[in-house]
Order: sequence, then structure tokens, then C-alpha cells
Amino acid sequence: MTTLENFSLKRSLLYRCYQQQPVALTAEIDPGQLSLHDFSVKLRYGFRGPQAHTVLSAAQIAVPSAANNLCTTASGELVLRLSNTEYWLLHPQAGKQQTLLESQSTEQCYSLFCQDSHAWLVLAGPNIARVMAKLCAVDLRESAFPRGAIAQTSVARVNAIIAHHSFGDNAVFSILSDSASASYLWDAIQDAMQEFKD
Amino acid sequence: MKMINCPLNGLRNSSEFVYGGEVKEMPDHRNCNDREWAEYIFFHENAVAVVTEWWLHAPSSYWFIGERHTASDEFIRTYDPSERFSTRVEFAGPVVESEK
Amino acid sequence: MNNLQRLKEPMGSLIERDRPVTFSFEGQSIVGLAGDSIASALLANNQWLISRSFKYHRPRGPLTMAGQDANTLVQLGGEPNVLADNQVIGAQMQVSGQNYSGSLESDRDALLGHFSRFMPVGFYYRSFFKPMGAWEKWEGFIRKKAGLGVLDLEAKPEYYDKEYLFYDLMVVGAGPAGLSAALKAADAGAQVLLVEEQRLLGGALSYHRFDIQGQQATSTLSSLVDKVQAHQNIQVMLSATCNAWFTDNYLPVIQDKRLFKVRVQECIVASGAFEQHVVFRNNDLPGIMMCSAASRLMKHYAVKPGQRAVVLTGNDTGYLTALDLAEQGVQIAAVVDMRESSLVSELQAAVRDAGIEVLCNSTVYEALATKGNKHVRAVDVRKISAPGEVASQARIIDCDLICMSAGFMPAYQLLCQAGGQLSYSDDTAQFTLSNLPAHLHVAGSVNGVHQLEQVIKDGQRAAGVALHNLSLGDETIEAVTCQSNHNYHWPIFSHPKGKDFVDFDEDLQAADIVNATRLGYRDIQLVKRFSTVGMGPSQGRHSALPTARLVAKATKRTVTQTGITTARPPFVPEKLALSAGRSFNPVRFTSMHHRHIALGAQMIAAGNWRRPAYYGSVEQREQAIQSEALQVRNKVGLIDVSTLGGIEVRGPDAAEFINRIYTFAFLKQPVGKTRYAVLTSEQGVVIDDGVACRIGENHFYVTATTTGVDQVYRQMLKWNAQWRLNIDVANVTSAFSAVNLAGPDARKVLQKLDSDVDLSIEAFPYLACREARIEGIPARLLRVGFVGELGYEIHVPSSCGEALWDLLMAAGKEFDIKPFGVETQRLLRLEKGHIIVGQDTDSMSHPGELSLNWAVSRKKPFFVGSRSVDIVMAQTQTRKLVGFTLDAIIEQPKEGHLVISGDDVAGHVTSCEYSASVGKCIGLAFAAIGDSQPGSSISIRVDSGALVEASVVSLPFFDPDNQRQEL
Repeated sequence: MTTLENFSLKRSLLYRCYQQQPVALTAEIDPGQLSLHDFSVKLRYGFRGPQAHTVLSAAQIAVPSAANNLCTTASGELVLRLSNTEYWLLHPQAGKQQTLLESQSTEQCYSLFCQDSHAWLVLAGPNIARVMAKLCAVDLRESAFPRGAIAQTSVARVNAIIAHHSFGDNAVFSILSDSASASYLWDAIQDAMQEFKD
Repeated sequence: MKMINCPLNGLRNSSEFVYGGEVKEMPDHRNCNDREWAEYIFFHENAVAVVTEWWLHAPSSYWFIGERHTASDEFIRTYDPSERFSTRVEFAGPVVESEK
Repeated sequence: MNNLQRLKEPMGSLIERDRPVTFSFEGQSIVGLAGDSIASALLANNQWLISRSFKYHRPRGPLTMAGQDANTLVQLGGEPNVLADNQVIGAQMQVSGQNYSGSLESDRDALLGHFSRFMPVGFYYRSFFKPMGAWEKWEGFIRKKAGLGVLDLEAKPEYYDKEYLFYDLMVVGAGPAGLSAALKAADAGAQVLLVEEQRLLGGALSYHRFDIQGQQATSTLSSLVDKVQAHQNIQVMLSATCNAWFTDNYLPVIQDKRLFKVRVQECIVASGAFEQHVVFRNNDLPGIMMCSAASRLMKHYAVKPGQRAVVLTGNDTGYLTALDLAEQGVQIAAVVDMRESSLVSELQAAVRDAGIEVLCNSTVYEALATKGNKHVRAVDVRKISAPGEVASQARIIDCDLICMSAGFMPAYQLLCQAGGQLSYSDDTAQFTLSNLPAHLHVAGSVNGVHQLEQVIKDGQRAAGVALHNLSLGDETIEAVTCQSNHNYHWPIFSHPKGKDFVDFDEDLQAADIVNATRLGYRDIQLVKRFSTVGMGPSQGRHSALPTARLVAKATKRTVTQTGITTARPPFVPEKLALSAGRSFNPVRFTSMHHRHIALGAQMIAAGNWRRPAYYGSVEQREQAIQSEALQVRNKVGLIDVSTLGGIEVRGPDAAEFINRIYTFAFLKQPVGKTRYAVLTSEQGVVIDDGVACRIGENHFYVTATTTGVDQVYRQMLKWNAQWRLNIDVANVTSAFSAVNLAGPDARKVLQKLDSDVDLSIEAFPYLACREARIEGIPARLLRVGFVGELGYEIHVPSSCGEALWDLLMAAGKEFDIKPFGVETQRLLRLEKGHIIVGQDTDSMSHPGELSLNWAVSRKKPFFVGSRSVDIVMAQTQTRKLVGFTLDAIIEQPKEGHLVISGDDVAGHVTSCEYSASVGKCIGLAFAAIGDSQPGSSISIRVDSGALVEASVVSLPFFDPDNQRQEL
């Protein structure tokens, strides 16, 4: 369902938000700059079910030992564990189309629709925890929310999954949230970022 | 704002949660009388006591069970529903004419 | 006095002497110094009259110099009710007083004071309530007199913001207790937020004199403040108010234009105590202030509060203030001590040594004013003969300043909001707080501890408890006690001529409170509501205690018995902008949203979604809807139905699960077929509907209503948490975008696109569903009949939704395809008699009332609501949803209009539209069961009150044999 031969038909629901802002959609993140990026068109897969762990293991994918944690594969893919039986694989590398797993359901391991149900935003640079503190009631400072942690919570009153991870040498937040609310959330985050920009 | 300890997500503001009513055992819907069924559907204890309730952590769509004291509003314990519901529920069997 | 005459350093810790700042007050140019408050700058320029009182328009000047009273509420530009003693001056500020007609100096309404005995407590309530109509007549006049300040109706919105903060410990108040608590906790490794309402750290240490020599405060202050400022575990917020306590230490802190929502594990309230006034005649004149206010004026602003002072006290504070005043060159006419003799003879000796007369067992009975009550000029001092009573012999002492201290009331507000109990001992006149929640602690003078060494110890004690809770300390906690007594038991001296104010905000005098009890209001809460005592901006900080004392005495009870009025959030008045500022109102857009905008759609809300209502201008609404409808009936139309809920149910038990959730039978539903799915609640009420597509043996895709899907999804998860069926349920609403391509030419349009599905009627009949690829886009195709035409619902990944829209609009061009909106869809489905759950149903509608019996399987063992459906459908039915038509339209009924049967309301209209295809006005309504057969007629009461007769007809209104949708 989620792979497409014809990628030109496939669009981020957000693309109008950053037509004037070249910072979005670039995979190069300037660690000195607070910036928001749209990774929505990058590949991601979700699996859920009692057999999900077994299926991932069979594909040589190591998974976090507890829910609400993530780990990174050697090739830079993120493996998010959202519950005892739910895992998401995110592929942050630009242009990456080769994937470890094709998104296919087997019995007791059901593919999810996170490619389309969720937008993927990346907030990077200094003060990202303070930006989020203007939108979210969960303490996301490094001391309480280290890299590798995941929070499923409400951001600007929209449900979201916040993952704290490394991207290159930088610590960033990946925010996965309802794709239909994405342009609203984009504006809300941009507004919160304003005071931290030069 | 109150905080609730979600078994999956930890302590969160109560605004992230949705109340799901008391945990009640459904009577045999085919063979109980109308009164017993109405008790199940409409009546609540409403006592000053520890009650067992359904709670949903909305951002993760995760249902769990909480034991809460109705006077102090304190949660004594929260846990995954599998602790309480471990076997498959069946509704098969002949339909019995209910009392009218 | 002017700025050159300010007191010498170290007085004036808040001002910068070399930076004059010019602002205007009442149109006059005033020069203050940077760091001055409006009030201190005005006093430095000898402007004592700052505002007028609310009711009698009496001249008022500073009372606390700490933002704790309403005496100095001023208008700052467009903003009313700014605290002049807190607001720092800025260049070009335009400040004026409040509550006057004419000018502040000469207020026509000041005469109101003379009529005060004709305006007793409850005056407005009682005088204008009767006769009928009196209120209407007087309201305009009274409203003009009521209210504080002037609103700027041209005000532009400003940017207010909110932010969450997280700490281990928050300390409220940076006085000696708060500073020492913060330091101890931070030293042990806790992350501490220290919140202080004033602009500087230190609290009483920054202005109060603790010892005869006057050295203790200064040395303690600098050592504590230096350590706090250098400590990396302490974050200090100044000019910040913790405005409430909410469950689990959720603490709103206001600073400037931001509302901080602070969540901490432990909280220590070291909020201090409010110095209390003495009730005597004319105790509100400018020049009469709290002892602490005089100290603040000198120490913070280097302003000399007067030339010749009388200090009126019920505790040692007055003596220490007298020493401070004398040191700064204020002549002390007398220290008037209400007590029999000073408890600290050493202190009294020191004051007498300084040449100051001390009058014990005495009080100020009346303050005498200059012309127009502009300032105090002398006092009438008398011996106290009994509590609240004085001897007849008066001694007049000239003065231009009265400093008073009747005692200290703990700043208990946050603690009581947390459920703390404030108790008063009638014997010692002391307060205690008890019953606090586990993670909330109290320290310092709010805890009844006043001696400096003990205050500091108490802060450390509270920190010790907090550290223990944080697992950062385990030392033994020892209680801290304090011997000093700060409260004089009866500082109320009623005067036969009144103006002995209990509440300055509301101009309430001692007799007003007593009279309220005589009118039968014994309960302290009722006295408050009747008299409005404590309801002004200062929220009873100074009036709560004298009110309690007066009510207790008048009702022959103790203060312990009467209690104190309840404190509720917010602690200080809070601007609405802080709550409103940067609020979040999520909106959801479908992937095709921008195409609708480009096509001129009028968007409407459907839950959080925005959907096109119709395409065209608002003025052309009716024509747009009718032409869109005809387009669908005659050619082909396209509607965005992405907002429809979508739920995936997969697994070996998928069919069993759907069979339990929905009313119909699904176990034998063939793969590739759809089936109408009705959801009833456990109460047997229809709460949602949709279409269940069996995509595979173990795979269902179910649609749900736009606003119902979240609830449906949650209920499904909750049921399966109990049933433990082998399935997975996923809400895929946002993952899919969908359109309904409908109309006689729909197939032709779809055939123009490259797809791998046979669209012929034989291969893909009505009610079938298929998985396919359309121009490479993976899609789910459903043949549905909601609008009653040949139609394909096409569901695709939302990332491809916009592309799909473009492809279909392009392919449909030669067939004159037109988009249609939700309002048009409502008309089209109404022509087919299809209900919309929520619009044509209510919280009592069971399947029988909606003629949905056909969609309920009575053979299966269970579905949610099955037993209740059995019960309610076995009962005698009283109403039914019917279709009606109107031949001649006099006045078109609207949704909600009542259906009248005899003298009874039988039901109401749920939908009603004009249908061009039918050529009539058509609608659905709940009708009495006796009127529900086709051929009956029903009466509808319309807006004008007239009864409109409508004919009940069989459904559907259009294409009764449903041939068009099955093409």
C-alpha cells in the first residue's frame, strides 16, 4: 500500500508551508540554527502484532528492549518501539528507497499506515526543548528525555509521537503527527520558534 | 492539573486521558432479566470507595485500568487490561428467549 | 520634595539616581528616577493623591507599596487597573487616576461620601430591586458609577504566550525563608525554581528592620542573595506571581506577558504575611500607610514618607519602623502602642532613648484631614478602655504621616487553594495552617514564624522535608517554633461617624459588616456576598481578618467558629489575555484542501476538519447547491470525502469482531463486497454508521462518520481489550484520502484513467469493493449509493490525494465534471432518504425508529447493544422518522422545528431542503407513530408560529426503485 512506482504523484501534505523556506526538505541540518524540516515524504514503516518482534528479528533488525524507546541501525534507520507489540522504522536518509523490510502484513504482524497517516517533522538546532515547552506538557529537556527516548503525547493539542535521536552529530526531535493536522502543527511550531531565532 | 500514571507512558497530565467508565462485568445478555441488564447499563455504585475504571491514554490510544478512590481522587494502581482479561470471550451458543 | 531630596544611600536599592525618567500623570509632567514605581515617583514629587475610591470617591494614596491593595489602581494609557506601586515608570507613560468625575483633584462625586449613611450595605441590591422596572431605569446611571478604569475599545491584540516549566522544587517567595529553603535544596542537588513577586530578592530582608541596631537584615540579605544568584541549581524568576495552586503541584506563574505552567514534584510556599491595618475613622487618608510601606518607600526608593509621623502599632514592628524613620530624619511625634506595655522592653527603651514618646494602651481614634480629605494633618489619640472602645479624653497630635501595624495575616491563599485549613486561635490571635497535601510545604512568616533566625531555620526545615520526598536527603526534621506574637487581638475602633474602613477596595466600614449580620447574614461567606467585602482587587488581604472579627463579635462567636472567607484562584487579578494568548485550535485539512480553495469553495467546519460546503459565492449559495446537485443527477460530480473515518480490522477474528461490533451479519460477507454497518451503543441507540468492506478473508476496511470515528475506534479497542480476539484494529482516517465520483457518467470518467480493474457492471457491480491501481496510485474502490447515482468511492493514500483529485478532474473535463460540496451531498442523500447519524438521529433513536430493522441481525448471538435493542424495540413505539413533502411552500420548515400532534409535541424536523429533482420541499421528521404511514399528514410549527401541513410519503423521494445507483 505504501510503496509507489510513481513518486511524482506522492506529495507531503505540507509542501505549501515551506515553498518560501528552503530550509525544509533538506537533509543537511545546520547545528547552529534552530530549524524545522519536513521529512514527510521519506520512507517509514510500521508493524504491530504479537509476531512483530519476531519478524523484525528475522530481518536482522535489533529493536529497543522497552516501549517508548528507539535505537538506530548501522545504516542510520531509526527503530521506534511504541508499545510492547508496535514498531516503526524511519528512514531519514535523503533519497533512500532501499529498505530492510517491505511493508507487508503477515498474520500477527500487521503493517501500519504511518507513511500516510502521519507527517514527519524534524526540529533541530539549539533550544529545541524550550520550543517544545511552549507546545507540550512533557519535560523534553535532555536530563528528563535523553536521546533514545520517545514520548507519545499532545503537541499544540494534536496527538504526536516525539522521538529524541541523533541525526548526524546533532540531537533532534522527530515529531510524527496526524498528517491532516500537519500544516496547522507546522505553523504552531514555527510560531513557537520565533523568539529563539536571531 | 492532576497527573495520571499510564502503565505505557508514565506520569502525564490528566488532559491526555479519557475516562471510560467503570469496569463492570457484563451479565449473560441472553439469560439475565431486564432489571439485571438495566443495572449493568445504567446504574452506578457512586460510593465513597476505591473504584475500578477504564482510562484511555488518548495520544497512544492505549486503554488501561485504574483503581481510584472517589473521595481523595487518588489512583491506587493502574495496570494493563491483560492482567484482568486474559482469555478470549465467546458469545456462541443458542439464543435464549429473554424475559419480557 | 523632588528627586534631589531623596534619602541618601544605602536607601533606594531599586532606583538609579543618575537616570531621570519623565512621564505624565493627569497630564502633568513628572520626573522620577529609573527603577521608580509610579507611586514612588509621584510621592517623591509630593503627589499623594493617586486615585479615588470605588464607592465614595475618597482620595487615596499608597497603602502597602507592594501591590497588595487597590488604593493605587491607575489608568496606564489604554490599560485600566494598573498597580501604581508595582508598575515601574517608563519614559512617555501616560498615567491617570481612576474613579472621578471632573478631575482627580476636584471630583464632583466626592460628595457621595456625605450620603454614605443613606447608602448602607446592600444599598444597590435593596434599593433598585423593587418596584418592577426600577432597575431598568437606574441601571445606566449605576453602571456608569460602577467599574474601575476605562477600557480602550480600539486596543490592538498583543502577543501573549505560554510555556511549561519543569523543576524538582518550586519555592514561592524569596524572603529569608524562601531563600534559605532554595539554597538548602539546591545544595543537595535539587533543581529549584524560586519565584518572587517583587523586583528584587530578599522579601522583608530588603526593607524590614529586624533588630535595634539595624544591621541584621543587611548582612543576612547579602549573604543569602549572593549564594542564590551564584547557584547553578537555582533559577530565579522576579516580578513573577504564582497565581494558583492546582492538583499535583501544577502552578501557573505569570511574568510579564507569559503564563508559565510550572510542574514540580515539591513546592514550598514561603509567601510571607500581609501587614494589617487598624480600623479607625478616616484610616484611608493619603499619608496613612502600613509600617512596611514606609520602610519600602525609604529602603527601595529613598523617598521620605513624611516630615512628622505617628506610628500606631500592636506589635514590635512599629518600634523598629520608628527607629528607621527617625534615622532618616522623620520626626516621630509618638509611637502609639495598643498593647498594655511593650513586650520587648529593650526595644521600647531604645525608642525612648531616641527621644520618642511612647503611648501605651492607646490608639488613634480618628485621623484628621486637610481640606477635601487630601491628606492626614493630625490624629486624635485616646486611651483604650475596653477592646474596641476608647476613653472620651482626646489628645490631638499634628502629623503628616501615620504608619500602622495591627499584625500580620499569613499569605495563605495558595495553601488554602490546595486544601489547607487556616485556623485562628482566639487566645493568641495567631494563625496556623494544617491539612496540606503531601508535596506542599510552608515556611517562614506564612507559617507563623517571625524571628529572623527561626525563619531561616524554618526554610531549611521545609527544604529538608522536600529533599526527603525527592530522595535527596534523609536528615531528621525538627520542628521550628517562634515565640513572638505579632497580632493585636482587637485593632478595630468603630466611630459613630463612620469612615472607619474595613475594606478599602469596596469602601466598607465597620458598621456595614455589623449591619450585614443584623440583616441575618451570620455566615461569613454570606456576609461576603451580601456586603461584597473581600471581593475587590485585593481579595480580602486586609479585610478578611477584621471582617471575621466583627462578624464573630456581632454573632457572639469566636473567629475560629466563623472562619475566614475562602480563597480561590487566581491570587491576583489575571489578564484574560494570558489565558487567551497563543491558544491552540487544531484544524485538519484534507490533501485536496487547496484545490477546493482554488475552485472557490466555501469551507465549513466538520469537527476539526474543514470541508467544502459548496463552490461559489455566499450570495449564490442556493443556486450553487442546486446546480451542483443537478450536475450529479445529470452528468458527473466529484466530492472530497477524505474526512470519512476509516478503520482497518485485520486478523483471523476480523469477521467475528465486526460481527460483534455492528448490528448486521458479517460472518458470511463475501470478499469484495461491502455491507452497511450500523453501530448501536450498549443502550441500544444508533450512534454511528458506515460501510464495511471485506477486502480479504481476514481483512475489513470500515468507514465511520467524520465526527464519530475517534469514538468508534476507541470503543473497538476497549471491547477487544476485554474480548481478546486475534485481530489488529487501526484508525487509518488520516492515512486515506477519498473522493466520491458520482453521476451517470462516473464510469466513463474512471475509464479514462489507466487502472487495473474491470469497471464493467458485471465485473464490478453495485456494493462491490476492489483494490486497484489508478495511474499507479494504490486505491480502494467502493461502489456506494449514498447520493443515489452510479458512484465510486475511491480511497487512496493521503499523500496521493491531491494527485488523484487532479487526475479525476482532468479525466472528467470532457464530461463536464464539477466538484460538489457537503451541503449539496446533504440534499442528494436526503432525496434518497438516507439518514445522517447525529443529524437525523438523537440520543434516543433506536434502529426501529429509523426503519433500520433490516440492518439488524436478530440471529447472531451478540452485538454491542443487542440486548438493549431487543428491549427498546419490544416496547410500544411512540415515534418514527418519516419522509415528508410540502406541495406549496408558504414558509420552509427548518431543522429543529416541532412536529405538533394535537396538543402534543410529537417530534421535530431533522432535515429539510428544496429538491429540484423532486420539484418539492422534502424533509425528514420524527412523527407520532399514528401519523407515520405514507398518506398521513403532519403539522410543523415554523419560525413565524404558523402550522405548516406536510404529507408523509414513502422513502426514497427520488428514484424509488434505486435503479440509478445500480447502473
